[in-house]
Amino acid sequence: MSAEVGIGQAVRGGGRAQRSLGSRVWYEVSKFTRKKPLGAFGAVVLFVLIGMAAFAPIITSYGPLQQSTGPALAGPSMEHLAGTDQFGRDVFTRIVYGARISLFISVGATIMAIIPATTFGMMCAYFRGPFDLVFQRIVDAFQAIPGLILLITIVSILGSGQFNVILALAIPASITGSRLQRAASMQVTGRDYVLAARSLGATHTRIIFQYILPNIMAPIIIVVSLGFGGYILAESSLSFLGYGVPPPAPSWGGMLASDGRRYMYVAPHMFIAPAIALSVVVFGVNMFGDAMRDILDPRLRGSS
Amino acid sequence: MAKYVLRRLIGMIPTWLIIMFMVVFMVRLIPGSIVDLLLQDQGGGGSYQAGIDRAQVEHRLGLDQPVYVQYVKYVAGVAQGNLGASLWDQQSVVSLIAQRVPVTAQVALVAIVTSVFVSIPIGVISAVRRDSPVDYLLRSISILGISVPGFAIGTAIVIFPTLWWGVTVSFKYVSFADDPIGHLKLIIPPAMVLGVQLSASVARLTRTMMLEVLQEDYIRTARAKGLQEPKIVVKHALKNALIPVVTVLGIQITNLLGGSVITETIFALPGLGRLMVSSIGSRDYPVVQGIVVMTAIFVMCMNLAVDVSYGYLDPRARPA
Repeated sequence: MSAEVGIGQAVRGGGRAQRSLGSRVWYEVSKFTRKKPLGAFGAVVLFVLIGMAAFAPIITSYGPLQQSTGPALAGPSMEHLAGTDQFGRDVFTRIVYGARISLFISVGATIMAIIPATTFGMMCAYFRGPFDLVFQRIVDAFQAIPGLILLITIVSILGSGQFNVILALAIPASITGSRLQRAASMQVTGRDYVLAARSLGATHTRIIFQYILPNIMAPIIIVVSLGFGGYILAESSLSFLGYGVPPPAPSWGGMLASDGRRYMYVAPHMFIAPAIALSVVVFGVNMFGDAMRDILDPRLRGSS
Repeated sequence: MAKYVLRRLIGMIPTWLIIMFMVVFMVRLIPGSIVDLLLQDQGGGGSYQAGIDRAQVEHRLGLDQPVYVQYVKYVAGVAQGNLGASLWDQQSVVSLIAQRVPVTAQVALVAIVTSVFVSIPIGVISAVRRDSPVDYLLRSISILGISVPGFAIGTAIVIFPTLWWGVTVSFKYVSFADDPIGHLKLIIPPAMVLGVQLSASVARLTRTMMLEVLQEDYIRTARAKGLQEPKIVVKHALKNALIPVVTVLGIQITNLLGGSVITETIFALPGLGRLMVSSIGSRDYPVVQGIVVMTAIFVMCMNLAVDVSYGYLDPRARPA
């Protein structure tokens, strides 16, 4: 289903290729903004997040770990837009640098989850039989254990640290996430072009990566865009339980869950500032993901 | 139907064995074993003497056997309804869990009910008024609900009233038997917070499914017959849109049991989630294993119940 629509769109897109690239991009962007204002807002948030991560040293003059930049626990002022924390570190600076951690964790976990999940899903759908049967029971097992409990256990095994948090987020997602890719691949494996490739003697690897993969890109993009915000939130939940990215790294989850909560009565800005940063980013990313799904899911496109 | 249920129950056995395998191995992979903690607790140093103690302790706890032997023994125990005993105080795991279940179950129940009452109206209205300001507002609210970390909402609810109005909330846990009203006062607010959070994703799904169903031919037929719009929406569309929503509510229960870890920590409720986290910390293997295994059984049975309920919601989905 999605394959045909995708091709149709590509052909129509090709028709506009005579116009300059710039005007075509502008046309698409303005159409997206008109049709999906919330999605466009989400895209802006994403750009701001990437900008903050990339240009952190330009945006702020303090360092994220630099202490005594001003009086400790001071409220917001012109020098310290979001106030200071218990060591006199600038909270705004830490939030700007924290964008790097959030981005690193969500991009890292997304990539490390979606590649195995898609590979497993395609393999299950293509080979079926005993491999599929056994693998699906493993997926069942992972799905039956509450996510947060699985996360805590995996982080306890791996030890704390930014990379281990990514790994812990990615492992369960790479197993359970394969189910959707399997379902999408199932619809593709029975298609004539796959049968044709098979009868021409194409290898399994070639069929899976050349014929199935391109045709399940829509569900992959949907899973990626909707999962992104979830990883940022999951990191903050882990931080709350003491299993997140360890201090003094300026992770939003950590700032919110440990220092923010500890000094809430004396310095509420230490709680509010990271809470706003985190919520706005997750909100924006989810909105963007929603819009992407509306556009890519052929079943939802009909009425618009 | 009975045959179908039986077949599904038998089909659960391999999954269940995999879960127990995962749990038994994973819990033992956590660095720093219970023996270290027990010896520390008893003030045993790192001397030669401690080495002898260690062997004794390990033998007493059955931890000197290879892991696969421990696994087989554990499975055999579970099959007989014996989940073992806590390594710390020798209390039986079954009774430890039984003490904690009521709190978690009450929170979960109130949360699910709240979630249904909040999410389904939001989803329906936002589908019927698609791409209108009302839709944008409702969707923004529901996405905001899943964008703010649960512990942040919980903490804000606990702290800001104190900060602004000087209202203090008591967190001394009282059981239902001792003080029913005091008990419900402790359970209901956190459960409702959890429910509102859960409602976000259910509302989103309800909206998506409603949009899909509203395009169906039978809706056009209903309109052509001249039925009134509210009747079409509720009787014809919602009933069909709810099927996947029921699935998600089933999945939500799994998340709820995980989310209860955080809710119970913030609101100091003695539920399963807190027992789980503290048991991971103290490396109390049988307790961790017991909770995960029981939760997993519960979740799998819930999934089965959801699948069976399809038959009632949708005659087409009835197993042949």
